[in-house]
Amino acid sequence: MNQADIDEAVRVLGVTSVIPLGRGGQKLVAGANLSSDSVVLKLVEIAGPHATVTLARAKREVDLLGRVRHPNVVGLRSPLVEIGSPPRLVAWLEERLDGQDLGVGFGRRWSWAETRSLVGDVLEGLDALHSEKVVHRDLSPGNIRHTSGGRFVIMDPGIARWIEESSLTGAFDPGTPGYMSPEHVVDGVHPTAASDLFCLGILAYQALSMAQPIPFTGDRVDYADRLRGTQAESVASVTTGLSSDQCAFVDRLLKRQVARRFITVDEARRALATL
Amino acid sequence: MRLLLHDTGHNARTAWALTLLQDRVIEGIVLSAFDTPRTPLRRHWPASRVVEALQRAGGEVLLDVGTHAVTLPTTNRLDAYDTWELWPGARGDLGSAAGRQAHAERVVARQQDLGLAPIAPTVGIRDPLGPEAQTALDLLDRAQALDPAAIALVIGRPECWAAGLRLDDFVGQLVQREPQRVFLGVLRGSLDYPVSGVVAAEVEGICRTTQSLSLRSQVGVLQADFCGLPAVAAGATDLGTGWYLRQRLLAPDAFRTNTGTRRNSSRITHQGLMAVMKRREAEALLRRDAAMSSRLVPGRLPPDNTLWRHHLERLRAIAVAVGSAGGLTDRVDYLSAAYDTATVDFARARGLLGHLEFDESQWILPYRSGLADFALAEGL
Ligand SMILES: Nc1ncnc2c1ncn2[C@@H]1O[C@H](COP(=O)(O)OP(=O)(O)O)[C@@H](O)[C@H]1O
Ligand SMILES: [Mg+2]
Repeated sequence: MNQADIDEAVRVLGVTSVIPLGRGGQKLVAGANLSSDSVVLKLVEIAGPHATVTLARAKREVDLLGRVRHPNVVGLRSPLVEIGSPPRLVAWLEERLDGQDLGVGFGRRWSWAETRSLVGDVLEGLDALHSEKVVHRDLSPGNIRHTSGGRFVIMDPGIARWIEESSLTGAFDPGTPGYMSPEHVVDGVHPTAASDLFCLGILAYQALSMAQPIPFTGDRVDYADRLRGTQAESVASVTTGLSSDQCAFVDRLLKRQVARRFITVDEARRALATL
Repeated sequence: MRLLLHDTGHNARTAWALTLLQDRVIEGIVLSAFDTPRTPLRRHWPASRVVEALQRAGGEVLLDVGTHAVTLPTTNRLDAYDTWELWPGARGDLGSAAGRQAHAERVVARQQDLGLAPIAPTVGIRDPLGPEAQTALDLLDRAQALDPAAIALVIGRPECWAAGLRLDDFVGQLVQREPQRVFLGVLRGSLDYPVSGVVAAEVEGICRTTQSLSLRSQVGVLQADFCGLPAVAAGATDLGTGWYLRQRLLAPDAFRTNTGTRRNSSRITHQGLMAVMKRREAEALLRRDAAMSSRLVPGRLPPDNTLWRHHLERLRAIAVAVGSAGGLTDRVDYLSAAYDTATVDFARARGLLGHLEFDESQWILPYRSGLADFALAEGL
């Protein structure tokens, strides 16, 4: 990513006080100001063998965020801008969420009340995504923000997939090891809304127990085999103090068999309402 | 528990069906496009007339359009089938999206024209993650788009039902279509009854699938007869059967000409064995141990001209007993106990008669072990 292109993006988007927050692969995330608003600037380099796919992915992310306006999904603050022709860089602005990434909070055990609020908020955000026929596919601790006001907000639907369109394939591994669903790793099957619910189950399980239901230990093949072929232990085996209904709820999110899991936000929401 | 009678295509048999409906031995009829023509054909009544008569008797009427049968390479019994005009293009052309759409439209429209809840067209599945499964899901999607209440039909070969994780992956895709009702069927290699070569894994697969689907949908097993009892224990509430082998089983021979109408008329249903026995064997058993015969049938040996009805009544009795035994665990326990008893009785009957044409190894054991594997996996 060359500095001149970054400067150009900053100029076109009209932001000031740009301070980098993080950089991973071809994506750069920075805090910035848009007049008096705190925003996040996202820059994605369009280069390398998968340039076309990277561009499409970025366009989708922005298109999606533009359509989904929901308190539990990060808000878009600008259109997508392309720098260079053909584009070498694309950039856009999002609302800046205060607080911290979900993972930061995973250093301790959460109460049921805290976990319930995480699950409830993420379900609402997912409902907004799923209503647009979009699957997030990467619900992981780095992609959910816990704001200082206590709200949980879904970020980075960068590999989200429109259910009815063909998937973007080949250029990246969908999902984050440790936070994938069985459908992520089975040939001939694609993650769906029910897969997002499985991933939410992982987050709830980890919040409650500080352990992962199907941990990733460094070997992707082994992880995939266990993800697909084994049923996670009940959350009851790694926690104390939860009611059997609360355990059953988390366990049902984590059912290996999709048919035995909650398959829609609605199903999960109705069950959660009774807890 | 509801018993569904499969089509025979004979006008006279429609009268039997009416009697069975009136006497509440069956709850519904599944007509077949291969047996009942849409328009008058020789001596056959057209579907509209059959539907009207059956509905007047209070029966649920459904139409199996048999896309999974017409796409079999050996199918050539097409005179009734062709009256349905289900293919605007070439018969069996499911290779293109346009072909699938045109077929699905016809299939749904034909059923709607008759006022029937449409069953989605499907194809027989070997590998639950293979191309046939994709075609089946695609056809279901198209049928659901035309009528959201479309009933899903899944026809799997034995290896499909035995495919373990791959089957679960397919079922996961199916449930996300949220069909209100699902019918399952096993596409066998032949119309031999008892079915030969049944393996426990396929029985377990049907049970697991039925249980999964029954969490959200009404599940039925078609052309299942005694083979469908494990599914009933697992939560199926419709069981398809009849008196001819091609009503009891689904196999390519049912859709070929000149294979003859094979029937079980010389065979007597023994409810306690969950099996049918040659009359000669049944009579020999009666002579050796009248009390045992009377317990297993139960009662006297029925005369030949009532065998059709006798079978349905006996199947109904055991299916209702399993289905109403209680929750999942109770139903599975009930059927397991019935299988255990039948296993002992088969051994005793074999001891008395010296030899049986078929015994528990065909009629009971694969189903019993499949059910046991299912119970173990479910933690029952
Ligand atoms: N809108 C935002 N508000 C606050 N922090 C954000 C925002 N977007 C991203 N971040 C921070 O930047 C990190 C990486 O952003 P993300 O869009 O998830 O990029 P990546 O594709 O590299 O995962 C996040 O984990 C989060 O800490
Ligand atoms: Mg991220």
